[in-house]
Amino acid sequence: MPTNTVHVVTNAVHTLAGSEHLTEASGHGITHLMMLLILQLGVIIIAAKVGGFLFQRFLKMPTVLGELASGMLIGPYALGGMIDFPSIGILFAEHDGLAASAELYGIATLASIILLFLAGLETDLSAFLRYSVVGSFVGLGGLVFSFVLGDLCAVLWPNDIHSFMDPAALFLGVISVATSVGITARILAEKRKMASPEGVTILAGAVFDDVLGIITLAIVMGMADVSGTGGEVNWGRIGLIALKAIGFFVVVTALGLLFARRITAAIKQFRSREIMVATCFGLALLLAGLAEMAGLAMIIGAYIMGLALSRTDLAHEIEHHLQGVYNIMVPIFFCVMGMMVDFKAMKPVLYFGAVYSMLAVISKVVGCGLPAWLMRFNLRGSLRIGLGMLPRGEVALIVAGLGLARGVVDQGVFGVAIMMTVITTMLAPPLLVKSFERGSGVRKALDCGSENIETIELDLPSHDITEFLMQRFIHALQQEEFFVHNLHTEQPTYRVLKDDIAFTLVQDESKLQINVPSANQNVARMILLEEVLALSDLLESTKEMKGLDQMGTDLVSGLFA
Amino acid sequence: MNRNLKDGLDPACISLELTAKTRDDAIHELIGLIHAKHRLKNLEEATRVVMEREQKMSTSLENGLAVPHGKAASVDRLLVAVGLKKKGIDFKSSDGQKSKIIILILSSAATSGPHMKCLAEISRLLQSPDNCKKILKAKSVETVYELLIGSES
Repeated sequence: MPTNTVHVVTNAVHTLAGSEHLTEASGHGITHLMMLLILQLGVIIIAAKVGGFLFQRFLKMPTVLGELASGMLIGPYALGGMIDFPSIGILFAEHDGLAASAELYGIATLASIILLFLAGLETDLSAFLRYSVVGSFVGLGGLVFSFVLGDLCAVLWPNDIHSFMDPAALFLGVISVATSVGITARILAEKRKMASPEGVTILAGAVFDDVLGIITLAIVMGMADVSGTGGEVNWGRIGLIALKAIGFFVVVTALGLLFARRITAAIKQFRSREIMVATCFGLALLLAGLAEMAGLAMIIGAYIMGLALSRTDLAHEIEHHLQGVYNIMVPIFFCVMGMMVDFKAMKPVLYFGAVYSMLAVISKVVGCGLPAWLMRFNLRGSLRIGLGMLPRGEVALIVAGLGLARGVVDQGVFGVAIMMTVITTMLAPPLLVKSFERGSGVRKALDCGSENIETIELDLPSHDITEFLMQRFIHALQQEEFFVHNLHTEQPTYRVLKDDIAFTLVQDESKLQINVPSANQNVARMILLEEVLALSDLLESTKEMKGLDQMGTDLVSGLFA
Repeated sequence: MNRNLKDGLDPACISLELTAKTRDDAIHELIGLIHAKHRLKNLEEATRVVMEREQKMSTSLENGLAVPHGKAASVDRLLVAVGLKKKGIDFKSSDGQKSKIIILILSSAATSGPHMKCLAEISRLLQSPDNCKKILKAKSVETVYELLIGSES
């Protein structure tokens, strides 16, 4: 496989260059190399976290942007390349045109795999199937428009890219595809619009966008290999590669979904959650490697593994346990991506970047808005959906990084990709908030968002009793081998999962709410009813409690002399 | 496939037509079926927990279903009995409907177990009026058993 050879060669060159550098610098061997790596990681983690914090706190922007900015600041093309430490040398030096050493890039790659594995895990596949109609058109519309416009932008610009099938053009197409709906979701939640028809459609569209984006990436990776080697475009081979990529995705995902329950059942034999989670992560790494061997990218394999496990009751457990690793590792990835931005290489492509970014905005607003408008939304609603799908983020950066590492795109184009990500992410929030200011976004009243979710509400006499009942209820659920997860939101909210039963528990002051699909509502009602009965028994029995003096004299004795 | 229900239910504990005419008699009769098959260690306790639960609040559900149940210390595993009563028995349901399918569940008070899951399986299966009709029309114990265990839930 040509990719692999290229990789092996690049890696070999990297190691070679690394070891040369190190023998010249110190001659301390691998220890010195590792020391350098550890120092780099230390600086990166702290810088990324501080940058993320500053952006989120003071600019109200996603932490990703802060992490990127810190990377740009400490990278070899800015501060990192200027400060020469005694006995260490330059901390972040350029290696063969890459801002990161092979070791550091390896860690960033691992981070990107964790990111995509978790993204797959968080995918709500049932929503994917439930909203298949509107969601698929919105997702597909955005995908086609942004891919074609992104690609054409590169072709039509006066540069040395002249064919639609040029690998660099293809990559620019893919980079502009993947929506990062995180920031939109946050705004929707803040504005209480998550369950609005627009909100539901955006989230469903984003799932399609994710899945289709990954498939597109798989196809483009294959195409880039083919059309990159020869001058002529060989459509037959490209078709074959597209088929192979889609085939790999569909077959492995289907197998994964089919066997996920069995796999997790086998893994559950370990009985220890840590072992279960670690084993699943190991499986994700294996599939990632397998995907790379099949000529796709590693992140695709990781994503598929996540997707396959997302339907099992272990999904939340894995997410929960990997969160800590995620919080430390993923910022490293974004920071390293920021470090790779070479400002000098960007200067000549600044105008190109501006046009590319503008097209990235237009393509999503039109590409997602148009299908929405055709289906049931008015212009206002369609605009909201288009704007909601606007921000690009993690996946765009990962794809850009992949292109750079493979030598498909150069430093300049990579910078353009980062620029587009930053612009779309910064533009979306204010526009989205503004677009939600006025009335309804649907043409006629539609029962959208009511996927037959019922709310069971229990009004109890006091906040304390509600909290007490909630804890007992959770305990009872756990006794019945349900997985109960605290979502750590302002209102105490828990997600309850067991096989195909899933519902949400919310404590709203003195009210206990259960949001449950109607198919499962009896289960929830029954367990709750038994707990309420047990609670009233318990309260009844407190009446039989003796006076404090009789319960035990040591409790009060000496307290109030 | 209702796995928990399958674990707890023995065809010998299914009655196609209960002789009992009242709620309490029906509970006694069903526990009697379980006792005859499984030899309960403490029949009295088992009856008491089910009665107590029933007195707190009716266990009748929609579609003429009632699920008297209880957890007893003397019971060591999930045990289920099913009784049909074409004319219906008054389980004091809130909608005034009589119960025609009565499924009694006993389980261990000591260990966490399949009690709720079994209840959940039953309520899910019998949420559909069609399934209830099929069970009531069944001519043999085996048919009722098959319908309850089911290949699909």
